[in-house]
Amino acid sequence: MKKTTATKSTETARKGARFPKRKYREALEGEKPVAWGMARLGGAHAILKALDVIPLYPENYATVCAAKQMSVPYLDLCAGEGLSRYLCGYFRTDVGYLCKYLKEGREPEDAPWGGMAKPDFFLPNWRWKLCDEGVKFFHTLGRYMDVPSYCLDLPVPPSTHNYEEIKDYYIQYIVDQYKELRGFIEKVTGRKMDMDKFEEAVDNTLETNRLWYECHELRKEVPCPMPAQDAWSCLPPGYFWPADKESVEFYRELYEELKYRVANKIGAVPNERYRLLFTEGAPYHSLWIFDYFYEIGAIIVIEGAYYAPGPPPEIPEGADPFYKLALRYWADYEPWLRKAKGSTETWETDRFLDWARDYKCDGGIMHHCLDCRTVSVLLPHIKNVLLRHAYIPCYFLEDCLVDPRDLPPVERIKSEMQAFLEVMDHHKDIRKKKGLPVAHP
Amino acid sequence: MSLQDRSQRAQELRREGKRIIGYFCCYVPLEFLTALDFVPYRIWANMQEPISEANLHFIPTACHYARSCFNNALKGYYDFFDGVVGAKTCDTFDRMFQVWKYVLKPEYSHVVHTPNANHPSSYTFFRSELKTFKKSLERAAGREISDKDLREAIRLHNNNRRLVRQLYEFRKESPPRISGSELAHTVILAMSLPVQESTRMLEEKMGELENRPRPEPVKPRILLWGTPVDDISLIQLIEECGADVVMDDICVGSRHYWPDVAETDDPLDGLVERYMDKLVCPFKFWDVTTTHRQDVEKRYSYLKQYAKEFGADGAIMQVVTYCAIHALDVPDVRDYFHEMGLPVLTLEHDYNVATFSSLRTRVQAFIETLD
Amino acid sequence: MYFAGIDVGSTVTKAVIIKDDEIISVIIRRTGAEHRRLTNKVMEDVLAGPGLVLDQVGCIIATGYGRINVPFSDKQITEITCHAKGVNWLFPSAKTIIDIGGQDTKGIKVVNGKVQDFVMNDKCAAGTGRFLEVIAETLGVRLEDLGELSLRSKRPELVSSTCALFADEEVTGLLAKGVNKHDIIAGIHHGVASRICSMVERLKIEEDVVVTGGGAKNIGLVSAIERHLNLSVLNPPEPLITGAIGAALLARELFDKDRIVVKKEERRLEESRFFD
Repeated sequence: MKKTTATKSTETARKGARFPKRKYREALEGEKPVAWGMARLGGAHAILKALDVIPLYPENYATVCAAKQMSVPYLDLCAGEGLSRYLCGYFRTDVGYLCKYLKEGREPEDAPWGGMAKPDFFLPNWRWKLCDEGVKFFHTLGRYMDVPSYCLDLPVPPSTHNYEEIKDYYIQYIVDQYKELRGFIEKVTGRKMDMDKFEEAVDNTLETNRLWYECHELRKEVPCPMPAQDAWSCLPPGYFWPADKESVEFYRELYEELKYRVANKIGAVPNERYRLLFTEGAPYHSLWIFDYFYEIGAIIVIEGAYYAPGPPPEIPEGADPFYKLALRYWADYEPWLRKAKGSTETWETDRFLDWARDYKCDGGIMHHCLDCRTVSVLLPHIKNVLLRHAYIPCYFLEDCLVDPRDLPPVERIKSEMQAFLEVMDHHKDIRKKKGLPVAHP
Repeated sequence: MSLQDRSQRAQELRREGKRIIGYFCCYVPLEFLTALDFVPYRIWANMQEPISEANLHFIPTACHYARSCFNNALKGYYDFFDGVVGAKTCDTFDRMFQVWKYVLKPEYSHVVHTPNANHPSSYTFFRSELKTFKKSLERAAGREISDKDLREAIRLHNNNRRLVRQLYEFRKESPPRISGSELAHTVILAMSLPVQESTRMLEEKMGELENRPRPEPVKPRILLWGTPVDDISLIQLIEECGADVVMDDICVGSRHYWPDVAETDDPLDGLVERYMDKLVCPFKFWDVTTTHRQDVEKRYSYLKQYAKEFGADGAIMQVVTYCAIHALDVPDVRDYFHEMGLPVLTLEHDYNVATFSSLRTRVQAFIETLD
Repeated sequence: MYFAGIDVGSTVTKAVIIKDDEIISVIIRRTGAEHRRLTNKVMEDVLAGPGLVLDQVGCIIATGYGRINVPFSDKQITEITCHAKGVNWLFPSAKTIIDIGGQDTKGIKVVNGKVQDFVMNDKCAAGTGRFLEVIAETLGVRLEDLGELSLRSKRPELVSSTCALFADEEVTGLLAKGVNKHDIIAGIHHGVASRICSMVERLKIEEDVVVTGGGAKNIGLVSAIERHLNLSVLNPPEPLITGAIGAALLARELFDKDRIVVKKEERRLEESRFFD
């Protein structure tokens, strides 16, 4: 079997990677209702926590299949269902898995972690309009798992809007839906929400996000204490189960470890020379390619889609917990929404410029996934913007989210990366001449 | 008029002092534009020219239709616009709008945030969002929209839509007096004119059709489903293979013209209802409250009605490559057609006539099975 | 009465003449890009066998990729309908056809000789004859030897890329590592078969399954398909001509049922005008 995982740098990352397995086991073996949702669950984890529902994530399960080299047979099974090959690789993996599950009438023997507990309901969500395809896929999953759904339709202000004018009704729409969601879950599961438990879950969510945010702030340091490989391993608690006490503790531990590293100038890469921005989906089927980055002194210091939460929101005294939750969700992009247009006409692209500057990047890796249109569509535009406004060059890595058959041969990637180092050196000189900050002159 | 010259009238009007607003997608409430005397102009893609410049800004695996629209803009075909309005419907168009703003810097731009769900709260939100749109347009026009203006605009658009539906009536005949390509041609032109002129053109067409003799012979009748088609080449290809396209479920067609705005006391009520409930597009996620089967029935029962009323013998489901939203509905809609007893052909295409030769075999083989 | 079918494929042109229920003449000719338009020569040769002239043929049907421009045919019908007809005549029990051609791979579901449903590959070369051609060239072996060679493999080497370009690079890498050709070819067949089967699976494969086209002549590929589907497939004695047979049969059927008006004076036995 090929090696898929990457060498981890931090101690805590190893624990983060074990988090999901425990949750999937708990769901499979326990009596609690299960919801299938999308990454970050539209910020609604605390509502589920208070109603004792375990959220599981088909996208996440697909990454596990990819890391365990199980994607290919599932993708092939899905192809027989008449779904196009360019559709989301994560969900196609899940459809393949469900086909096998239904055909065999039980969990397939080869299903990673013993399979995925079946849902009582679906909770697709439009997180910042990040992925309409994922939401739509829940219609398709309904062909295999016939359960009701509530779609969290979380709005995101277009850059054409005047932020102050629209802020209130946008946030109100989020609050209203959280409350509707509570009613929906109570109806489907027959449970009643425990308000004390809810308050506690909301507080946990706020604290998890605050600590996770602080961890990412530390990655701005030179040398960077944590690479992308670790950040990806560390995202499950915050991404999927932030309302849990264990998640708060996890990020506290991570924060302590990173702080120690920063204080002692311990970089994740022994000899840091190039700092990279990576966008978007991680190649879970081939994370080992990042081990090669160590050899050349390159480290990914910031990831686009997986970017951790924004700064903690200001919460008014005595705020309603649903409102608190909505503010936490809103805070992720608030800094950019306030700026509205910025220098690129849209706050969406402006984020990349800010990240590149704040994290002192030398280059970007544009992970163009053939089977993830949503995040790939704009990569050439982002590349143009980074080069034009920040003199930062980008390298295009053509690949797929989960299908290793579409990854270019490794030797090709290595030789292209070699050439890209020279491109980055060239632009480093340009930035120096222009008086722009350079992490490693 | 040929489709190549479809912008002629809009350019003329601009020279006369009118302001032209380009719009993507049928979820943009045109009634507001008409109420302020802006000319709404549907932004087209281009089936005749390959995508070139747009590839500097988008990956080649982004929806061909959206990229093609933007390609036209980069080529200067939309230089006569005074502004652009979009709706937040699919991700690709949403992303394209961002680049459009950055590269072309339109004088006026706005995006209407259409909810993807239909919760009680979605309606409240959308009502506020329509008010935001109204306010934004009023600023651009330098004057306010009165309820009376809005009611009048609603009436004009309803009347225009009614006429298009009457044109479709001729396609119920066997064989139909108006071919699928001729009807598409008419509708495409109708979307490139101010609503009053568009109505006059449709009235003329109606008069002409009433006196037209029936053609020969009877051919298999096709219902066309799928992504936007704003060129007649694809329909012509189907006709050349020996079938009549008698009905469509696409947004440059019935999806745009079927639902009216109810003429309510507060005009916003009717508008909210039309743009939330009555328009159809697979991007919407209606909550599934019962079973998947009933959900499909709820979303697509109108297809059953179309198939029956227009006497379809088969359905062609066409999806422009990389439109994930439509591609994801293909299995459900295909099964639904099969349940009605209709044979189905699924086509994926690149929105470029140069690549149509491979479609011809598929379409012809399909029509052979209908014989 | 005689009837003819001519199948102008992307790499091979096939012509068949039938009389009553019997095939009396067959021509199979490899047609490069330049020769593709010489369909008249193929027709002349297939007529010459039994000593016929064009006017003696009651009806001629052209099919295949180049069917549109055959100036002596009376009608064009797609290869999908023709394959279904031809295979049904050879194997009345057939329900699923997998046709592996030079540029296209198709799956066809058949009920009583009629097409019920079909799928075709997208524009990508993976899963077609072209893919195998590229690999054969890199390995320095003849396309027609791939099948035999792969059977000698004891430990197939997995070639993961499905993209023809990437796979080609991967194969070059494997050769450099000293992996033997048999194992590489067996691995390639495994990959192509899986691509083909998952496409055809959309039709819900039912037995009997018949494999036709150039790919059917590759015994290594056929057995890889059988392993994937976990069943035995049927193989026509000459898998290249099922489309042409079907075209000839359809010519007879249309003629007998008076469903075609044949205008012999309009047939012109000249070159196809392919590139106009």
